[in-house]
Amino acid sequence: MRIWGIAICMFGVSVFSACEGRGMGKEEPHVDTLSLILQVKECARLHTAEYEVHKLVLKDDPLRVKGHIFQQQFDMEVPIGERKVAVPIDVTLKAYIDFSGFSEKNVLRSGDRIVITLPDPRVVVSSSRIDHEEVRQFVSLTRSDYTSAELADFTRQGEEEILKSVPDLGILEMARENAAHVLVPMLEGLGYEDRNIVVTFRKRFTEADIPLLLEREGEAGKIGRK
Amino acid sequence: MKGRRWNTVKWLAVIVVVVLMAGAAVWWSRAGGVDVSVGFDRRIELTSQEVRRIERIGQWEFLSMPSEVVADTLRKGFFSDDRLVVIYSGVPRIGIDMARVEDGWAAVRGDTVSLRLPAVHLLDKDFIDEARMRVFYESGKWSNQDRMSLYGQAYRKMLRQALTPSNLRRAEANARGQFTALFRALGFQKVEVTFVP
Repeated sequence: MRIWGIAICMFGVSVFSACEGRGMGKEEPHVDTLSLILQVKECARLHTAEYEVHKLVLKDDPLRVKGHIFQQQFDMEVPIGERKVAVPIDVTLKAYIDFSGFSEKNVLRSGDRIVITLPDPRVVVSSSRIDHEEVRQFVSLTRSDYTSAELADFTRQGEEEILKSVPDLGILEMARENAAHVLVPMLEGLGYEDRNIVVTFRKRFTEADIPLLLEREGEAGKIGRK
Repeated sequence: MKGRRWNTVKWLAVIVVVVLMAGAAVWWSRAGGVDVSVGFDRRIELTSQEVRRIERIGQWEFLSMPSEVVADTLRKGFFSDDRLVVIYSGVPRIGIDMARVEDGWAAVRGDTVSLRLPAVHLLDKDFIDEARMRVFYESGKWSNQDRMSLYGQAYRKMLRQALTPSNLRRAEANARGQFTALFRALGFQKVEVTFVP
């Protein structure tokens, strides 16, 4: 019995060490940096409005105990120390009109009069930036500092909050108005008079249309659409 | 006889205890029981936002390059090294800013229009969406200055990849094609496009 037991143990050790040796024999390639252009896109967009929105993202991170004992609810803070952070961010939004599908169908000419019907303006996040010099953390000795991953999560939430407020900013309305400010001088240079130029859009937008007009490049779906 | 009676009593006691425990469990569950959870709330606080700049612009975008770049930094220590690796996303855009065109950039001669446009260029100084960054690996403590220099590293990499001669040529070719299509839609038969450096 003892001999059989020793034999089984030796067999198990040899199998284990063989599998481990196979994994450790090959050296993994070291990738220092990796750069990748996802997709170069040719387009024809006329950007007509730009908004820069500033937000101070605040986060207080207490440890909370909550639940219920029988039917008595409770929610209380555990005094293990403070952990707070303030992250200022700046998000730049741009509204544009996509001319990639623009054709003769969008132009109506009658004598000296010209009517141009433009596609719907859309809003895109052009850039977002953390003001790292102004980031402040207030962390007591019993807690750990905020990690870069946590700061990234808070920044993303702050940007989502800004995007939810896009319907209230008026950027789409400005995009429509300024499209006329860009195109009318161009058409005047082509010989049309100001009073004979009409720049119009496909439809008047309501708040319900806003989620369809926000986009984030590189992501499937639209911002704000649930 | 005495032993058999004792066995019966023991079994009865066991059954009574089991029934009492089952009843207590049913009563506990109907009364709501006890539920306690301990944790942190990951959501940020509700704060206001400020529109700092509103600008009317006229920029034609002809080439966009959604990019992801990995930036990393290493700090050697006595016992172990600290490392921070972050993936940044951004979209450099190349096109023409109409604020740069000269007066009389569009000249009409019959059914021919001649356009003098500035050379295509990078439209925005800032193009990284830092809110979409992903921390791939982090060990050790890192300061605001470290994160800022990591952003700068990613910015330079993305810019170098975007502003290549072939991308600029491609943007210029697309600009020529798009303006030709636009002015043909406006009724011109011939469209001549010249880019002025």
